[in-house]
Amino acid sequence: MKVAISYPPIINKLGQKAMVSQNRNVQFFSIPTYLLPIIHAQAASMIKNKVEVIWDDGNAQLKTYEKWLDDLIIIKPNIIVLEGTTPVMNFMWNTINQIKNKLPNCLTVLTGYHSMRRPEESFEKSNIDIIILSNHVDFVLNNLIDELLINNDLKNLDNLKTNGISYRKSDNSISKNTSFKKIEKISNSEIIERDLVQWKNYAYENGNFLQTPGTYATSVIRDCTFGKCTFCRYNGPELSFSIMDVQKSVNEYEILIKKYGVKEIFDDSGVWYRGQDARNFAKEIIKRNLHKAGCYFGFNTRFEYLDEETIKILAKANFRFILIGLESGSNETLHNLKKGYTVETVKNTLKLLTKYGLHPHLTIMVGYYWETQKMLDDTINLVKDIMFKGYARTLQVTLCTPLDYTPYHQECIEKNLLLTKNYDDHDMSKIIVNTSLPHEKYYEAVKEIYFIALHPRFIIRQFLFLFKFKKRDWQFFFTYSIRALRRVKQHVFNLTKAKNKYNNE
Amino acid sequence: MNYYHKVLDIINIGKANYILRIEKKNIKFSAGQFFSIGISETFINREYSACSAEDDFFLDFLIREVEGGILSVKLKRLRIGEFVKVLGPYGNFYLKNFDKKENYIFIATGSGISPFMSLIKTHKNLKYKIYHGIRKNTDIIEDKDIDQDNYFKFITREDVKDSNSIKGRITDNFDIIKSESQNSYFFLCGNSMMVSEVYDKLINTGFRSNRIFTEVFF
Repeated sequence: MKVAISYPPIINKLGQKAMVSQNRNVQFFSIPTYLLPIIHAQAASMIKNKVEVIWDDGNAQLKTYEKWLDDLIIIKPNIIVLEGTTPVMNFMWNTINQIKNKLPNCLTVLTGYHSMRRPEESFEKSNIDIIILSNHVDFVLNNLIDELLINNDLKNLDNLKTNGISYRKSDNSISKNTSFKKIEKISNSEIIERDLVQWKNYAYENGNFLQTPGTYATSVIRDCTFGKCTFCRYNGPELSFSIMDVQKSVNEYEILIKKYGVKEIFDDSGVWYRGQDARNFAKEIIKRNLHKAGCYFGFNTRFEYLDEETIKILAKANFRFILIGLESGSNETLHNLKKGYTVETVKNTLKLLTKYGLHPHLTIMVGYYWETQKMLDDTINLVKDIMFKGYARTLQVTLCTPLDYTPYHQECIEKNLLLTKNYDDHDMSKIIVNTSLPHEKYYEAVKEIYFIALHPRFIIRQFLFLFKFKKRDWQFFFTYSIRALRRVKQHVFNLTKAKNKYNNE
Repeated sequence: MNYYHKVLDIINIGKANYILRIEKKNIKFSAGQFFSIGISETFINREYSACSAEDDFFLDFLIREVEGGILSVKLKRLRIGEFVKVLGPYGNFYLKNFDKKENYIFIATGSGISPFMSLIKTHKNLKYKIYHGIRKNTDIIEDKDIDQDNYFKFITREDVKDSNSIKGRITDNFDIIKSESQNSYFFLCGNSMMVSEVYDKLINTGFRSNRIFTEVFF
């Protein structure tokens, strides 16, 4: 049996590629960033001994859509697994229909947080056969493959027993096996088979790597330990977090460094270890001498999760890039988002991180439907203060966009705030909700925040870091000065388009 | 918004656990929900489920003093009148349609018993049993609101001292839970390994997944 785990290349009218970014959001950019889809890579690794796995990421393999589809038709997989999120759902449904047209005997399986929460819609809009309802794609796919191998009949799905799926029966009715586990022992899941997923395709084109080749580790925490932020897809009654054993994760780091020569490892868990687990991880890295291998480590965390003792030992273990969601400089917004922290402690956390030589990266959003000028100004002023003082090294700012039927998305629907019914518009390139301010104000705010990178106070601060005589600061200075300019140009280009569109309307 | 709440008391429960009692102010929550609690000077917070009743005038949190931990140790050293930062409540781990005729089976490890204490104190005529996995006899929760006849302890690191205690892990003694009524509602809270294993055992025994609710603690 041949199973393809497929990512079709998605290119918009401007020639920009759909890039999967943080939280598996999709944004269109012309500068490539190829991120390894971790759970799907684990799924591929889990089933590789039972079936022939085709790792088919058309984006990372630099294919055109036509070339990708032609290749797939030649390969003729028995099962094709796809992943979709709100802004690419229309595209996915069309792609599924094209696949089913060309390969009618092939089973198509759809995964992702959008279809997981609205499976009926995807059955209605496409000829999809099976939708996975769980975020544990690896475990569910593995069970499904087992059942299909036993049944040995891909044409008859009428009585599938695998939990966590919804499927189309021969009479076209839909059946749902909703009984599935929220918490899996992810320590039992496979460590990613790097060669199988062609890891090198993801090792270079990633703006967050200071050194290459870089890679993403198998996530130690699936979804998020907190899991209550209303805008985040790692929040829902069907989700909880699962945690991996520290030793197992360090074992993977050792292989990545020693066998593959990786120079930067990022763990994209919604939130990485904290407290004792974080300290034990760092101690184990040091014990195995991996901190001296010239490889930097990074992860996502939350404000108020890391104390000084933990930060200190992480720095010693050669951690560098710490991605942390600030979201807003307004306590009211943080409260509405259920972020679980307040702005008062933000600077202290960042100060501690930079004190020990770590490089905090902030993620910020603007354009919440309740956001007033005062809230927006609070965010801009806080971010400027942080960046001018050198408490964070890099940032990204995006427009808050309702996605994947998260609580924020549902709130926007219930309050009748959505300005569009077309999922294509959820691509984060423009504001799509009714807001308390004209949309232009938010676009200006994004521009103002990105232009911090060109401000003399920020540039002087970067110079001053050089006098700490740390290799990473020198690397950062030269690498990021070019990247910052490229990124500012790219974001300003996208937002100018949105702004012009707004003015024309 | 003022997130700072005054400490009213620190009550020791055995050797490893204590209750942090703070003023409630105008917070409303559903029994089973959790809060984010921090101390200003440490700039760290952690999530803790309330263990007091919804209508108590204070908020109680059952906290295990973690060896080598930071916040759990500092919280215990707080003095009455000092402040903690409290955000929340958060979460969906509560009884959506409480029915006094139904059986509720609460399965916890360690301080994962907190949300169940809150449920018991809030819903006075709840029909329940608690299965609690702990390390030592000193981890047993002695609370006047917990009906000791319905409180079963699974002790891993010491010999048992009473008839409602069983030596070993919950998962190793699952036969006791297996005999519960098929119509019971199961609530699982604690470390992810226990939650995952008990869930599997319940399903394999024939209990229905729509009657099993889970919450993971570290």
